[in-house]
Amino acid sequence: MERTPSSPIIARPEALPDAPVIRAALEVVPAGIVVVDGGGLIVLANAAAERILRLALPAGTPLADLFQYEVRRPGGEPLHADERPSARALVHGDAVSGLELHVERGDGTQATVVVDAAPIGADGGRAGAVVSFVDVTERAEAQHEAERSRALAAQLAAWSESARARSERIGRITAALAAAVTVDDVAGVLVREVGDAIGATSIWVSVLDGAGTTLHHVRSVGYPDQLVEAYRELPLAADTPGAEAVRSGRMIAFRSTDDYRGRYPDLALERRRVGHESLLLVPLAHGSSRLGLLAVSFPRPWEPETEGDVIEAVAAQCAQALERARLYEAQTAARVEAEQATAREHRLVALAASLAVAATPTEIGDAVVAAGAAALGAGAGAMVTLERAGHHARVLSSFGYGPDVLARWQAVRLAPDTPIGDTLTSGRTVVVRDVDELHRRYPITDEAGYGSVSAALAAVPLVVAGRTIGALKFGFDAAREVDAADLALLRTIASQCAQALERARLYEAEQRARLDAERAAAQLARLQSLTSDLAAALTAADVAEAVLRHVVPALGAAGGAVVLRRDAGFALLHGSGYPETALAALPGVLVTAGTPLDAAIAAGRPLVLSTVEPQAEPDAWVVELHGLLDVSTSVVVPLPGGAHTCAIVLSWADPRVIQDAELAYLAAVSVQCAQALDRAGLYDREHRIAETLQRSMLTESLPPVRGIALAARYLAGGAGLKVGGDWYDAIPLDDGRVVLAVGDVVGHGVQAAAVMGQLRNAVRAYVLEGYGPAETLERLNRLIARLGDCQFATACLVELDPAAARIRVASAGHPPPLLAGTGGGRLVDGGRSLPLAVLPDVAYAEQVLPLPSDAVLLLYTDGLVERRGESLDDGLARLVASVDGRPQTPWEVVDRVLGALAAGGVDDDVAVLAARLAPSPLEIRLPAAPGSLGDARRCLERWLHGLGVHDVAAFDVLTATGEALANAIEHAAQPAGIDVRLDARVDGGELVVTIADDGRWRPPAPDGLRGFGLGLMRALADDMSVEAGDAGTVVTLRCKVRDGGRDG
Amino acid sequence: MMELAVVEVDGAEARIVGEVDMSNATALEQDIRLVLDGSSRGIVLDLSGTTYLDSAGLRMIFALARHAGTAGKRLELVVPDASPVHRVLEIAELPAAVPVHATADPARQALGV
Repeated sequence: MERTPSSPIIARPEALPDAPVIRAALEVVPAGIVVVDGGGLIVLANAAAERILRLALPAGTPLADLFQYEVRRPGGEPLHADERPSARALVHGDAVSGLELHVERGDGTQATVVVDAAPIGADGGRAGAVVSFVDVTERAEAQHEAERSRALAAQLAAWSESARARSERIGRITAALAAAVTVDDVAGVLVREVGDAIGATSIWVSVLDGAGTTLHHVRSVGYPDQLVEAYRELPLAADTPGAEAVRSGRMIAFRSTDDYRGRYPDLALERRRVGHESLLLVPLAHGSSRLGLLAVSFPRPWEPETEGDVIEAVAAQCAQALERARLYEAQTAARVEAEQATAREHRLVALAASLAVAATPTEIGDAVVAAGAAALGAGAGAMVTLERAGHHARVLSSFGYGPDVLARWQAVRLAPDTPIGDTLTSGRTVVVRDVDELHRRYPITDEAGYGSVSAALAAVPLVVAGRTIGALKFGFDAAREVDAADLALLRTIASQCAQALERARLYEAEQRARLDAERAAAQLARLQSLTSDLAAALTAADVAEAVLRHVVPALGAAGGAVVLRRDAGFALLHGSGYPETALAALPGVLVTAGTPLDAAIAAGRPLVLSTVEPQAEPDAWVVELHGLLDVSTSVVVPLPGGAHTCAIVLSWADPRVIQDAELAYLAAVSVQCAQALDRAGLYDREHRIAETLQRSMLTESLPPVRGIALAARYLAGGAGLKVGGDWYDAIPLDDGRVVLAVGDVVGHGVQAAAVMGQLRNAVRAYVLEGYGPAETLERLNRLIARLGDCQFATACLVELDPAAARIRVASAGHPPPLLAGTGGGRLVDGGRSLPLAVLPDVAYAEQVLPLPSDAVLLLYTDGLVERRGESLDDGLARLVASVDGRPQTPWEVVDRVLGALAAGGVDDDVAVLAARLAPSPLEIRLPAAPGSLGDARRCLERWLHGLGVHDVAAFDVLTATGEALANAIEHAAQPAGIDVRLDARVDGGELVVTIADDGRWRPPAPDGLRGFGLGLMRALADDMSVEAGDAGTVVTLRCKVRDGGRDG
Repeated sequence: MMELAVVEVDGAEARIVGEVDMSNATALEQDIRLVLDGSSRGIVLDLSGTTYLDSAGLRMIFALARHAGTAGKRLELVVPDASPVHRVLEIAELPAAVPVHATADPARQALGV
């Protein structure tokens, strides 16, 4: 709509040439035109003006009439009458152009017009004014409508943006809450997110406890510490708005501080300090269950219209999350509890398993202490048991406690002034949570000094059938609550432990009983075995050896000895296990009269000696005995009755309690031992008698027989335990003959030895009476029949006539003699008859045969040729084969035969007797001149060869003799020409050479080269003697030739 | 049966064949001394043919060894292990003073012949 400019023509009425024309023109103009005169009366108003203003404006109408209608500026401000364009034009002569005004129409409606006004008249002469205006009401309304629409649109946009942002924040809070797992997580989300979302500066979250009585602060932000502390625990019944809000389940809002002050004047002060203007207390509830409180503070007054819905939405979300978190936490707690319960269950099962295999109290203790410490996380643990008297504790198993601590527990008499003492004496469980409590409850205890493991402790009694038998104690590294579950576990462990201990005690008792039974059975078996061994023991030493061989290992002893009382002291029969030196010294220590041993033997009771257990004053004698044997426990068991007073001594290195069963076993052994010793004593006596008899009868050195070389050996069979009835003899007759005899009486021992002695003497008597071999055997056979104890016996007699070089042989069931000559060995088969004592009258045969000068005759007993599992013929064949055809001396033949047939020892006794014709003694007289030496040596050499002495053996004799001859010649008294005499003969097994002169013996000069002669003689002859006298000097050299020469 | 010993000489070697006793020891010693004196380094004295040797024979050998030693010469003995003489020499501990060989060759080598 365009503004119509006012026309100056119209504003000048005097210039109106034609009023009707103007009027007509004015009537078609859309603008309203009003002309007023200087007096303010309307001169003219066209129809448009009346239409626009909906007012009749007849000429002459005062302009003031128009002033009753309100005129305002576009902003709504009322326009003063003086400011109206007409007024301004009339009064001030101002021209107004295009002024927009709101006017009230005559009908009361509003219109908007654009007004122009101009004064009429020049130079301030106010002739009037013309005012024109156009109606712009519709335009203005449209414009206003558009503006309002824009404003509305902007407001709508603002509202929707805010809603979106809030919903976003709520969404974020929702997401965060969804991710919150625990109550603390939920509270964390609230304090982080809610402030931003609603522009709050402080957030507080409390939750109601399980009992529903107290609100517990969880998280907060923006509240001072004092306030947090003051409301950390808030009873639900408290008279505070927070508690009230939760109780009522309705939000309580304080829009401003004044509001708060008015309602809670008492609490207003602290609120003011906080500096918040407004406070919302929002209960958190899920369904009908109250969960907690959300408090939100703003620094400004609160407008429920804008934020109430957000707060409520957040509170609802929060409540859901809280409920979820509480459920989760409850589940988690339940699961953890279940897991812990399972873990404990497992531990208990494991403990039960280890207890099942723990046999001893210490093993039980180890298992229990380890299991308990693991279950409770203890840094130290111990199991103590009450000793029988109940006054002392004994630590069976422990860890973490130092040895000094354990020693104190064991050393101190029990009293309830220490935790462990309290538990053991009262039978109650003792729990101490920290060091302070320990000192308060047990002022004298020094547990706190036990190191870091005593910050807290728990001690539970071990109870069996209402009786306290011990306690378990666990120490913790730090102060610690011991809760009901811990105590329940401890008591379960203690109960298992107590049962296991009781089981172990019963098991031990049962084991002991079984062991006793087994030991008794084993001892019975050992006794039987000992009985059979003792039956084979012949001598006292055998008995002692057999007893110790059984008893020492049976009782696990370190050593043992059997001693025999002899006068004031003891002799050792046998010892085993002890050092040799200790055994040697043992009788010397045992000798002391008045010792406990003396008394024990006198009383016939076993004596247990110990240098460890202070059961009595240690006897100096016991200390000495144990020091000697290097032991600490001994038992001396006297042997009952009998002629011997013997005792068995056994010792152990370690301290040891001798059980009654062991003493009973030893008593049984001692009876057996005593009986066996009695038997052995008889045997020993018999054996000694037999041995003596035999030794006295067997010719130790054969008699020298002129012209005959003899050799004899006696080998004892059966390890020398038995004395056999073998014998030999050589009986020289006056006429130069000699009778050789060998015999064998069946059986062993005293009786056989006695019969042998009788036979031997009888043979000697008959031979000396002049009876020949067969005649002697006939008489011997008759004699033996009269001896009563008719013994089966064999014998072989050979009469040797050296002058005739002939033998006469008669044999009574005896193995045939052997002839070992240059042609080899052969048996003498003739002259054989029945053994003696088979028939009363027997005519014995004889065989006479020549004895070659180089042959050796060998008589022997059957032990030489009899072997188990071998026929007698085989034995005889081996005998014949054992000699070769070399000329030999009797000793050489004896050695060869025994070497071939008896080298490994003999089962039975063996007697051998060998003889050979010897050349006549050598007698030479030679001049005392060096030239005689060679002839003398050659004579002697020939004689030696005739004797069977050759080679090195002969050389030794020749050299020794040569030295003696040289000495004699060199030192012979002057004048020369006096003979030196050389004699050589066989004497038993020896060659005896004598060199005699009539000079004085001069010992060879010790220095120079002259001393060789004497040295050679001494080295080469077995014996050398010098007889120096006024009549001359005789040197005698003796050389044994039995083994055929020294080197050979 | 051996008779009284004689000495067989072959260059620097002397062999005693037979028996040595007080009746011939001095003569033998003198014979062997001649051989020793005529040698430049010493001699081999071979006793493998010696059937008897008494203390006079021992004195002879020691005297010859001493004689050789003073002349700066050697006396090397040959005595087989099986020889009866061996026993006598050992009893007198002669091998400690005079080198004794079981055979002639090592004795000659020792002498440097």
